[in-house]
Amino acid sequence: MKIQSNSEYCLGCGLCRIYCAAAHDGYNGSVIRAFKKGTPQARAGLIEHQQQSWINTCRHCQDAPCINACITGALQKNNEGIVFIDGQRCVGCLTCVMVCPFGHIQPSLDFSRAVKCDLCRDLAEAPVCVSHCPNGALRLIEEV
Amino acid sequence: MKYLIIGSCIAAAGAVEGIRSIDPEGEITVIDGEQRGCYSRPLISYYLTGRRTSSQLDYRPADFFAQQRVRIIPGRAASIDVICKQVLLQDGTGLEYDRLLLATGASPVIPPIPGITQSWVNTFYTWQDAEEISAQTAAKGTAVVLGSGLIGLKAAEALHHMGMKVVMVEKQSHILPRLLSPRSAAAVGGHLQRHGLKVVTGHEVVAVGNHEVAVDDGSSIAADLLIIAVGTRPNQDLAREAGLQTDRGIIVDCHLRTSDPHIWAAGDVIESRHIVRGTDEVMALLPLAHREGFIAGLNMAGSRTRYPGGIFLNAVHILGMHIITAGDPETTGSILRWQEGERCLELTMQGQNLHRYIAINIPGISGPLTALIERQVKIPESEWFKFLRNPAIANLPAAYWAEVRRWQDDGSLRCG
Repeated sequence: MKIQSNSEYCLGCGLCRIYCAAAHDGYNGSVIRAFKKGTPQARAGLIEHQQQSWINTCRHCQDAPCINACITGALQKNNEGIVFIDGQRCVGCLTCVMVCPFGHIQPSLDFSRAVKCDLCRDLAEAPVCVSHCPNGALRLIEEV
Repeated sequence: MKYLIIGSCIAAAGAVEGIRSIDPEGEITVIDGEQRGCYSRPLISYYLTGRRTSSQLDYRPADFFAQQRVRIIPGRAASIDVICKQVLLQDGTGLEYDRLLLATGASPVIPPIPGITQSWVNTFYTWQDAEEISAQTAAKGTAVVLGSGLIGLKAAEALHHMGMKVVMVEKQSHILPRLLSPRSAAAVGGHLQRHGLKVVTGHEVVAVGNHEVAVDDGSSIAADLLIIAVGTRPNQDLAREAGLQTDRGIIVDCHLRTSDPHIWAAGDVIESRHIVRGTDEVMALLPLAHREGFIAGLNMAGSRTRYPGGIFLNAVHILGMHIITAGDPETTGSILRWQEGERCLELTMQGQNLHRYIAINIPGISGPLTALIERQVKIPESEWFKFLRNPAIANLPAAYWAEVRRWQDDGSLRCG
C-alpha cells in the first residue's frame, strides 16, 4: 500500500500536509488545535519542481532500506505492509533519514526522533491526505 | 537442512530473517558467544547514560529467535572442521551443519602502549564493557578517551553526561578522521569544546601508568578512567585457522560465500565491495551488517542473490549536533559548500559524480544524497547551485527527480 500522487491534478495547496500534521502527534485531527496551539509536523513533503507539484511521501518499500538500516529495530513493517516507526524504540540517530533514497523520512522538529508516513494506520478510515485532497490528486493504491 | 550461525547480533538476525523468508522448515542454530542475545551495539552509549535500560538494548524483540524457531547455544566456537562440516565449541561440543554462516563480528584494537592492560582501562564495544564502565564511573572524575571515531565520540558524550570531565586524545590531525574533512572537523571540535570536552589532536598516548596517561608532548593527564576507542578488527581467526581465504577481513564472493562452498560470512568480519571506490574494504557498519546477513541467509537457503556492496555511511548525534556523512572518506575532488550558522553541508564531486557529503545539523537532505552516491548519478556541478543556495529536498537537481522517476518506471531500485 502507498499513496500515489498525480502531479497533473495536484494544485500545490498543501492541505494534505495540514491534515497530515493534525492527524499525528496527538492532535486527533483538530487542525485548529494543531496549528493555533501546537507544533504540528506533516509526515510528507510538498515538492514544487518545473511547474509541477506533488506530495513526497513514503513508498512503503517491500525491501525497505530504512528498516534494514535502523539500529534499534524501531522501524518495522506491519502485516498490512505499512512501514512505521515505534517511537518508544527510536533514539533519533537518523540513520533511516540517511538511507531513504526519496528523502521521505525526516527528523522530528526537536531532532529527538525520526518521523514518517504511517498511512494513518491508527485511523479506521483512509489516510487523511487522500480524503482531504480537494482535487483528487492522491489515491491509496494496493501495489508497492 | 541444518543452518548454523556463529554470532548472534546484527548479521545473524539478518540471516535468520533471510533464511526464514525462503525456508520456514530448516533447522537454524545460533551460537551466542556473548550470551546477551541479539542486541544493538550502538545502544550501549544510551545504556551508559540511562536513556536505555538493559531490557531496551534488543535489536529485535526479546522473543525474536523463539518466534523464528531458532535454537540458541550459549558458548564460543573454538574451531571449524570443514571436512566433517562441524563446529567445535570451547567446551568440546560438536555442532554439525549443512550451511554455516560466520557472523563473528569484530573486536576493539588494543594499541601496543606500555601499561594499557591495567584494570582501569576499558574498551567501549560490548554490553559488558558498558556495565564495567558504569560501575567504575565516578561523577566529577576525569575520563580520557583514546581515539575520536564514532565509538570514542559516543563514549565521550556518555561520560560527559554522567558528569565526568572528558579529554579526547586523537593521533590524527583532526577528530573523526575517517568521517570528516579538516574544516567540518573543526566545526564539530568547536561544538565539543563549547560543551566542556577537551580535544587534543595530533598527539599520541605513549604510556599508561596508575591513573595517569602520558602524552607524546611530555605532558601527562591524571584520570580515573581510560577508554580505548582506536578502531576495530575483524574476528577472523576461526576462518583463517579453518583454511578459508582471508585478508584484512574474510574474503567473500558476490553472493557472500567464502572460499568454502558450504560457508558464508557477513557483517563486520568480512571485506566487501565499496561501490564508489571499486575496492574491497572492511566496512564495519550496522546497516551493511544487516543487509549482508539477510542476503547471505537468502543464499544459504538456495537463492542466488547478489550483494552489490555498499559505501561508508554514518549518522551520529553528539551533544545535540547531528552529523551525517556518506561516500568515500578519502576522496579528493572539488568541494561545494554551504553554511549557515551551525549548519553546514559539504559535497565532494569527482567530475559529475558525487563522491561524498558531510552534513552537519542538516540531516533532512541526506537520503537523496546517499542514493546519488550509491548509484553514481551524473550531475554537473552547475546543477547543484540552486540546491546549495537553499539545501532542501524540493531544490535537489532536476537529474535527481529524473532518476527517481526512472527508479519507479523500471523497478531498478531495490525498494518501491
